[in-house]
Amino acid sequence: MVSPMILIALPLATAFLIVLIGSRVAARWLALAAVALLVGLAPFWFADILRNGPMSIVLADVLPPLGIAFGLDALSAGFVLLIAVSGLLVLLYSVPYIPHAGQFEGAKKAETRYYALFLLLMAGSFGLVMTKDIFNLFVFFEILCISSYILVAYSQEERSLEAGIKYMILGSIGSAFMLVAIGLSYRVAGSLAMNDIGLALAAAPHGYALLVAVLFTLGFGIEAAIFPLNTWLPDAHSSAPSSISAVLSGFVIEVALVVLVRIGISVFGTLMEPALGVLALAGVVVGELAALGQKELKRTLAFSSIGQVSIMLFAFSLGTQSGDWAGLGQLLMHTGAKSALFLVSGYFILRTGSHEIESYRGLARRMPAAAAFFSLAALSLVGMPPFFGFFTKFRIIEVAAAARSALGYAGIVVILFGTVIEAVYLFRIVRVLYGGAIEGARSDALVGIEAAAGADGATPFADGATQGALANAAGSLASAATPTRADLPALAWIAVAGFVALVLVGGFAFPWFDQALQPIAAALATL
Amino acid sequence: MRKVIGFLLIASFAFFIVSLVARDLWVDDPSQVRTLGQAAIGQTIPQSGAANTVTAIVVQFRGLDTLGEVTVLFLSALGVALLSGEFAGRGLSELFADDGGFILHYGTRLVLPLIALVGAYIVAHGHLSPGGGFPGGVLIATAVFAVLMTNAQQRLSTRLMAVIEGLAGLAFVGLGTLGLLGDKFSFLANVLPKGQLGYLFSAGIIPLIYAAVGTKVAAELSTLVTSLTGSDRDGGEDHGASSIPADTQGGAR
Repeated sequence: MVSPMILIALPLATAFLIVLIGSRVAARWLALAAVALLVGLAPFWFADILRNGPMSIVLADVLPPLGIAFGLDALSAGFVLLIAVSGLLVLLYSVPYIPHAGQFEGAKKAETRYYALFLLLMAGSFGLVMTKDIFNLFVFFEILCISSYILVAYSQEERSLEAGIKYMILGSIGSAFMLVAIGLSYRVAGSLAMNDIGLALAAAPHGYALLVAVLFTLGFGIEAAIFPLNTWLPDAHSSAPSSISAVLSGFVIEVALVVLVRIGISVFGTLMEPALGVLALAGVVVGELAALGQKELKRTLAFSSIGQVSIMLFAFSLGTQSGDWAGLGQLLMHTGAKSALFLVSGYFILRTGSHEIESYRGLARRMPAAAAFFSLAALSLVGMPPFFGFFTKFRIIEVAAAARSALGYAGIVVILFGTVIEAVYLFRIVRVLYGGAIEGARSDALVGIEAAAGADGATPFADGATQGALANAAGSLASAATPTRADLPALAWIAVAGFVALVLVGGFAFPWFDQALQPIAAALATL
Repeated sequence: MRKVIGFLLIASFAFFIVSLVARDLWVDDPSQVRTLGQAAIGQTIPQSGAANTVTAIVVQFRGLDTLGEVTVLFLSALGVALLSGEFAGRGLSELFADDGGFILHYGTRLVLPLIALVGAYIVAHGHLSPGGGFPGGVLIATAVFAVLMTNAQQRLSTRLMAVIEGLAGLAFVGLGTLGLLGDKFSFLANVLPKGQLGYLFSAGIIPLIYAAVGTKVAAELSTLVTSLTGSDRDGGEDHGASSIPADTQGGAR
């Protein structure tokens, strides 16, 4: 059995090697090979833990509390699998996508660095789910955060630089809060192992423990996008390259959320749960309503992530094992659906040159596979019956009803309300994609096409032309204007299909997933 | 309105903390303090063979944290190199545009070997005396800054720096993996012979890791300065000091 430390060592070593070699072709293959190896190994660790129980890893041959407490249990092994698979799919997508993601000086050099940063982001996520030491957690948290700040700003357009800086400022404030919480914990426990801190905080004055819990939640909650702390998210997730949006929405917030919940339960006791439940419900309402008002596709999806993450947080905050279970199902579904949505929207933006939903009218004819994937993922996100999302949302509502508390009932109302709004804005996008002839006002894209046509000397857009002829002409012109294939490139197609497959299989094999999530949910409440 | 709400939020949070500080924070005897410090001092020599307890903690007991911190620095350097394209050659590079006059130019040449030597000494003696890879690496990097600041023609190859930092990083991870191959089967375990306490060649992998850290820190800080000031030899002429317009060059002085 290979030591799970390879999860940290291999991405780090590959990132160093990529920078050392400095060639973007080598970078691609090295990154893909490293992550593919981890994907191959991850199921074995998971199976091993299901059979033999949690695996604790001794580092540097020194036992905690002197050394760092580290290890794999069902929860971290499950997340390792999720992160590795998502990472591999997104890396596959990046190969054709990233050369188009930034038009700036030195973009080729930057592409090499993109793969190094991506691997470091994955190493940070792996470390975050595996560590049992609060300072080590902080170190991996920093690796994860700093690599995401940089990747958000990757394309170096004004809006992505702004988003990156905003994210960095908020993230640094969060890190400072966390560091204070870690200092206070160490003062009371004299150890950095989470177990010891949990024991010490239980014995400490209530106010002291509460202060530590509040500071830690404030700091970590910024990354986990808990309602009032998520102001950075819409900008960051919408102006990052789409591969990075998919990763950030797909597993980074989720990893942060689960680690926060786990530490909240095991280290701080149940101090925060009712408050988190209320915040989660506020997050659902605010996220979904804000998503409804957006004109840009990726901003809509980013706000929808706030709503979805808040639904998970609500399930976790019910404080029961079945709640954790339901939350994890929702999390898995969101990873599949939202990653697919962001990945597809990256190519919508590339093909049309526009972020606005309105300019994708009729795009399903040019990109049939992409539009189909988008619709499937959107249906699952809303919670249509045969898809994964239906079962996970239904489960959350069931659990909330079983809780028989005011918060539970409020949660049912809010989640159903959020689902209706979600349906409105996601179906609106799907309708635009499959929309027929361009009705009403001409979209920006069409105006661009018209200008191009004018420049060519052809004038098919005479005032007397019927709307249908106009659309046909626009379609043929657009395909003539884009020499590249109109649909997704092969590797991107595979990546998106992988995420969509998760959503479909999740729906049809839900009882199996249900069972697989059971040990993971049981591990969430323990350390 | 937003400002008022923001102010109220901050004020209530401050009130919350102040009230806790007054009531609970000044507990004289925090509940369960373990004597971790004593344990660290006691374990240093048998576990690591280093004479410096701080180093034993930093490099061995919490070695994974150090690997993480090195990675954070690597990330920052990578990020600056990636994103500095727009503002390289503006602002900071004015400082590096001329050679600072005769005295600075030749004075630097005089002290340069000494700075680099002290840096290398601090790195090499990290397991024996205070210091180690981080401060030593910074000191070596200051020698590089001094050269860049006092010699306008001097350029640093970021390519070379990338090779150095990549090799140093690989060396760190490789030394850690050595522990996995040994009989102890634990990442970053000190599997090399510990030697005699207090000698330069002792403490197993600790001096080797510190050498890698020192090299890496020096290379990364040099890359940071090079990319921020645009004095990159590989970056072409357009970002170099020569591209600064005459008026900005004179304005600051």
